[in-house]
Amino acid sequence: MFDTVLIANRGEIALRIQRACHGLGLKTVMVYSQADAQASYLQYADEALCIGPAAPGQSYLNQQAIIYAAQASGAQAIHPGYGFLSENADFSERVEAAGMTFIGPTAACIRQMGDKVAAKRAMRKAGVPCVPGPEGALPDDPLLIQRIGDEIGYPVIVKAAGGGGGRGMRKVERSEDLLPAVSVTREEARRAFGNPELYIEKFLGHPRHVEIQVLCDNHGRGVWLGSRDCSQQRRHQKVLEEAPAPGIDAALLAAVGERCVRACQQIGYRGVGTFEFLFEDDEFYFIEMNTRLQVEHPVTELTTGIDIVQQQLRMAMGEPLTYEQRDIRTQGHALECRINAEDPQTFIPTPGRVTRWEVPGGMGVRVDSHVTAGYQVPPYYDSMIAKVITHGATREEALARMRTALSQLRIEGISSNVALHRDILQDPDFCAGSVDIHHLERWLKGRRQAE
Amino acid sequence: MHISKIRQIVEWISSANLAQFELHSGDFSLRLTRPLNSVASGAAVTAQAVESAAPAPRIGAMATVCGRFLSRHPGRDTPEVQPGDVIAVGALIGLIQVGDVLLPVTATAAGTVEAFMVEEQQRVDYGTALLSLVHT
Repeated sequence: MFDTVLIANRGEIALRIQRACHGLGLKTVMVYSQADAQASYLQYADEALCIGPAAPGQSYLNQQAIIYAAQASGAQAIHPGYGFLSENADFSERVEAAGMTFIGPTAACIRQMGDKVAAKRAMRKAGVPCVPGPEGALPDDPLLIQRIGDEIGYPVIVKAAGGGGGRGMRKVERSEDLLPAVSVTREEARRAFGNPELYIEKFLGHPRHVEIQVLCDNHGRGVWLGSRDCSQQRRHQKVLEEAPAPGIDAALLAAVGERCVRACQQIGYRGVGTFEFLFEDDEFYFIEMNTRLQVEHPVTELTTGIDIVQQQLRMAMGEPLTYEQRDIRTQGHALECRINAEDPQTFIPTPGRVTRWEVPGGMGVRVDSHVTAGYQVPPYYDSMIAKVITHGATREEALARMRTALSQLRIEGISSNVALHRDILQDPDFCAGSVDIHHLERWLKGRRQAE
Repeated sequence: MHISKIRQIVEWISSANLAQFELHSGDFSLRLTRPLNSVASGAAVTAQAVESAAPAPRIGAMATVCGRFLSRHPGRDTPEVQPGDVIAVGALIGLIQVGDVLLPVTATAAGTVEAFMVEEQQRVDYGTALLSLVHT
């Protein structure tokens, strides 16, 4: 048990976690870098401690500094948020070794899901559908590699076991290109991830990104909270997300959701997590599991009515889930636009001082942000400054509310990608639903050529 | 080169009222520039300081971790340093206690100790100034 939580993160998610803690009567310790010393959310913390200079390696990624801050302040639990140390198994282990609670899964689970080969093996065992391809890592023998590639059928994709987020992968169109691609990718993986292990899968041409949120308590119970569609991506970064994923058969989704929960039970998973899938031609293909809270969790909160961060804290305190799968209902539709401090045309980050900041409101509109007028967006971190989330009885209503909300969002002093979101919301293909993960890139390219 | 050295260099170029500083080595090059108006106003501040005799403290050491500041090891009777002591860079000036761990705090500038800038057992965090040095 704990009554004081150290929040080892910054920006909107630090504030989001702080609110959830205070809602449960938990005290908060917020740690910050010198670059964030002026952030207004630090004022609402029970205690705020500077842990280092602006560079993430010396502050938000500095495990020792964070653990010292927890010990100095008497915090008994650490919430890592997303990014930074949230999927770092060594950090989870060090926190627990220091006698504190890491709000997340065990180090063993983080490690297992962080290794793509091990993760896929665990998923196959639980009956979670995976992309066609051999279970294990690729062998060294060229003849065997060639045979595996030919059996799957081209195109295939060669991926580094230690990669992710679009890094360390290579598409192969023809049988004769396979061996050269494998040797280049293996060398890249050795250098970039320190792990030369590769695996190979069928390449999907027009998949959507569909994911399933799960909650697992420490007592072996788990539920899944419907689907999210995060197909609107640019360079593998999600731009706009929604829940539920449009046009997926409820029975098909339920079958996969139940298997996700079963997989969690088999690996001894605890806390919140997300199973990410590619979805093509009515088939789900597991890609990876995120063993942490995700940026886009609010769309699921609005459709299920469950405060995911508060539930995460309750489960970390050892409380059992108070509802079962049959109690989970999803209602209406929710959208989330990630507002970044970046140029809407070039996507170059635009740090600087926000001189005007007015956010929309009203029925079905939620804004998660740490920004206030006068806030200085630091250049050292992710450029996301807000998440605008809308909810409606239908997708059309959620879209209409988002259009109104974005028209009333006033940001001055820095450039933002609000204009991009406004354009996306007018795109007939997106408005019709079910675009694939390459759609936004294609649409951006078309727009550039039209100019 | 450790990043804390840059802080030291900034202090040096500020006190010398230099506009630009460049350092080149095998692995890196570093260039620090100060805007000309700040150089000019820096000179003005120095001139004023002579009259008002209230210069900013010269920092001899700062905290680099969160914890409680101790001016002496619990096993000793006297503080590691006292006002008037002449210290070199790297001299032990106190400790920071985190739980059961005692971490040494060393001087980042040389000079004559003026005073401790925090109370005994005070909670400190990264960047808290701990010790001031007499202006030379």
